[in-house]
Amino acid sequence: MTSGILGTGTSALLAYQRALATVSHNVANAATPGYTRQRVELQARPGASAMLSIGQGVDVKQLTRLADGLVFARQNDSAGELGRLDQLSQLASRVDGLMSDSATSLVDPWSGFFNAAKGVVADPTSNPARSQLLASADQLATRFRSLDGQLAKMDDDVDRSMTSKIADANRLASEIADLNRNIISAGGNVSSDLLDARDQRVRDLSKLVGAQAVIQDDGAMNVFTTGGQPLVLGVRASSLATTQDPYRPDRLQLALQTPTGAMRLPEGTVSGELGGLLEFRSRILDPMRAELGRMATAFAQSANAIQNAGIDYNGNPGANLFALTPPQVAAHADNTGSGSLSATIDDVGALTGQNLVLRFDGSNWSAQRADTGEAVAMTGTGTVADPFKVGGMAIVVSPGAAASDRFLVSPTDGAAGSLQVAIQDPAGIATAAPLTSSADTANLGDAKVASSAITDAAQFAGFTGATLDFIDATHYTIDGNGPYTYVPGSAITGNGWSLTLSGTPAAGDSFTLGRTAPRSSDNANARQLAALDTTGVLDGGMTGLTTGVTRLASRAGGEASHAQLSLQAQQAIDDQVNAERESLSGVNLDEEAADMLRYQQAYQAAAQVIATADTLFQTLLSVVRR
Amino acid sequence: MTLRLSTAQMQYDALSMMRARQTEISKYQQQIASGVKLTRGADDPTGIADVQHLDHALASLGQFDRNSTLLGDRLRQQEAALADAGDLLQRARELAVQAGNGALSDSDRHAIVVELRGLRESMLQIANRDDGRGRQLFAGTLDGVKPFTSGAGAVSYLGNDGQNLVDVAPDTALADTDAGSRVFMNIPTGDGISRARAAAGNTGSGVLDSAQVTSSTTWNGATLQLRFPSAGTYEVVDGSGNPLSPPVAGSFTPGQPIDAQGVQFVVSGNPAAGDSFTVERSPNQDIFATLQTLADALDLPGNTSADVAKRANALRAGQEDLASAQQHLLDIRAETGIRMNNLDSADAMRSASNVAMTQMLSGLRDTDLADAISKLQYNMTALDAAQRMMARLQSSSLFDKL
Repeated sequence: MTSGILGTGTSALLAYQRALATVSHNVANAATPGYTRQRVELQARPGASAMLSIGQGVDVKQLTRLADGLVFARQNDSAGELGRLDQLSQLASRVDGLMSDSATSLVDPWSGFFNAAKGVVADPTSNPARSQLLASADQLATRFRSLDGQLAKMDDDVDRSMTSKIADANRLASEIADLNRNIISAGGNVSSDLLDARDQRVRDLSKLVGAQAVIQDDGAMNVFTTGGQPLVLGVRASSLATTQDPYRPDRLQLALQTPTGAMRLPEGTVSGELGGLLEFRSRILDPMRAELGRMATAFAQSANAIQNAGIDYNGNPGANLFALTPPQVAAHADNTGSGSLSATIDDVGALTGQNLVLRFDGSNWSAQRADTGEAVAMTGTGTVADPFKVGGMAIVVSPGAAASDRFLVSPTDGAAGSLQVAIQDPAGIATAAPLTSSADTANLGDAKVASSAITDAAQFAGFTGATLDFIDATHYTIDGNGPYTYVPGSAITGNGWSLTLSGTPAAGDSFTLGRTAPRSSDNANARQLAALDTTGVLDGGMTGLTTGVTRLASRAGGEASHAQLSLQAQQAIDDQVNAERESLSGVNLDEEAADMLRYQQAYQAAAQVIATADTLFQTLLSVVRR
Repeated sequence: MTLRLSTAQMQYDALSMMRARQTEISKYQQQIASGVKLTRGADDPTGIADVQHLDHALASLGQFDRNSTLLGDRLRQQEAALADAGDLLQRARELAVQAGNGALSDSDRHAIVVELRGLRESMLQIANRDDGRGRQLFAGTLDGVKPFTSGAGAVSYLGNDGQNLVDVAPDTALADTDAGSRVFMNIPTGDGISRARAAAGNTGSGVLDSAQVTSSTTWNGATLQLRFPSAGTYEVVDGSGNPLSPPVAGSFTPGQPIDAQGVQFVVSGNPAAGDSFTVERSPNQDIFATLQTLADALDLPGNTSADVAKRANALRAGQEDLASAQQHLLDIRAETGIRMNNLDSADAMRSASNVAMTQMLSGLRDTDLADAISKLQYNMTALDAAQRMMARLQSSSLFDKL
């Protein structure tokens, strides 16, 4: 009997001691991140005899860790998404800053160049005006180069960031594997704090890479990427690594180390900050660089074409105003043949800036878009006389390619970084139209030469003059050769030159064409250059260059805004999930204080029970003592 | 739904509220201080493209202003040159009228001739004027050359026929100065349609009073020659010397109107055998040749009736040509005036565009101060309240009460 009461009291003391210890552990860790609160489960000890079963005290059944696996899984998901969107938003906002801030964007030098061109229109022979044009062309080229340089630096930053985050992820994965080992060996008595430590690391890993966790029967937690590749299997951790992009040795791709080598992880299989970096690079940075290059290419090619069509102050056909590198071709690292491609820009209006992959299947070449794999139509045969025409480029193939060889053709990537002004002498600006014309005074029609251009400088070199005679309103001869059909509005072409007429020629009308002399103050060609910002040049002639340039800022802004909004939304989701976790697993100090009071009182009462049992025993002893 | 709040969660909630308020406060402070609310494309992706477009367009307007000033200067100088040239021609006409006075002696006439030659020199100087910036006004599109030179008794034009167009506003281009060939070289003679001349070798005293085109369709621009095979007979032949059909011939009385193929000749005085007068479609002639020819003809000495007749014929022709030249210069001057008017219209249009675009730009880009200030106030009040609440909640925990 007394032993019964004593035993009960003792069990209570022990139980409440443990309970108080747990409460103090909770209180001590109230501010520890990732801590899951613990609670003792008390259970009454049932009585021994079957008949009058008086309970025999209280036991601590178990120490419960208040955690919910479902909430944990949702936290991981959210952490991965948040990490991805955070990276994306930060980097997109940097690109946005570049394109829209007036100190770094293209708009000021762009306006400067076209204003200088307009100035040359008003005063074509003024040396200061021409020098100003060259100076502002140089400023514009410098700004293009610096923007491309900044974007290239961000590309390098992505690689560097990737390397350091991979190191972090690998460290976390190996720590998780170690914890798995400890937890497995602890069996059923695993400490809640070990579990907390593992949960925390899995969350951090998810933030970096995007992870999904699955609990095994033996207590180990296996961690997989969102694409299903294993990062931690039981006590073994895989490591992430980088591999070289097969087309560009300077660029890193994400890979998983397997026993057979590094297996490249495609972009959709990772989330988290690494996924954000990869997504930024392929969805925002590369297209932005290609688009910037497309603007630079379209601008430079068009300006050069206008220069080549006119005559400069020295009486020579205009030389190129800008120099630009041609489209880059990169061979795949696994190519076995010895063939190569060379590409030039052929049609600025058809230029899309899309990178293309050209594949050789042994007999034929085919083209696909590099980002989606969608097939792109290609005309031509690839020889110098009949090059492949695709995406605004003309591609010539030199033989030797083996079957399944692949090449990446980047039409405009990096073009902006190579833009240079190619003329130093202000006299080299071709402001004048190449042909002078005088209508015969006896002409009955009202036609006049409206514009002229050089179509082939080599042929034009030998031009000294010509006579254009109209046999009737729709037929003409040049120096007696012909007759050719005249279609009103279309150009009349000669040996290296072409011209257009305004008005209607009548039968018998004659025009004497001459070559523009040196020191001409004619400004017809300069007007073409000054109007280049509004001329339809891109997208088949539908879009003007200024529109194209302003779209860069618009596009960068749209991406940044989208990323920011998505980040805000994900942050709200993350806050909600964290609140749920805290609601279940977080420590509430008031609650712990109340519990502490309760257990303290119970402990005091249990101590009193033992004292009572002792009093009973003493009473019993004093009864039988003589 | 009973949501249990942990202590950490309560702290986090309060803190994130405060952080959000602080971010907003910082944003509005920035907007108010700089006056600009659209700094990043992310704030308004379509707006940023419009803003950049407008900036570019406004910058172009500034350049168009400069172009317009330059062109305006040149056109004004052209107009002044034309006015001066017109004055010279007016003086030449006065001199021509003076020279028609039969009572003048050879030396009096010579004084007139000297002044006429002086007018020709002044005209040459006007034609060679530049615009004060180093560019000629009347050289066409050739640079670095004085367009008119005088030599071997004639003036040659070294420029070309080109005329530039200068853009002074979006989609508006106005013509620059006219080529010297048009202004000074290719000037119609006679009355602009037909010209009548006495042949240089005439020996009689016949003076061509008039040779008018009575019916332009009948005349049709043909060259007609009124010949005098003998002192009392006349015949009219065509440009190759063949008689007309029906032939026009007969006996001649001075002052008698002679009609031939839509032209009426009136000749007074006594033409000698072999004299002739020609009517043709009026060719172009440069102003310097006109002045020169008149001066040379008036400078011929002699007082015989033949000499007087020669001078009278030359005077009549010269006065006709001078009148035609004066009209030609007036026409070009009127055109220049129209162009300068167009320039003013372009100026007005640019000003209006400038105002409109600046307003649009401001609407897109500038801060609405009232709005921003009120939002700033609101956020500051909210932050203040959040901070007080946090301070209050911090101090209430059961542990403090034990």
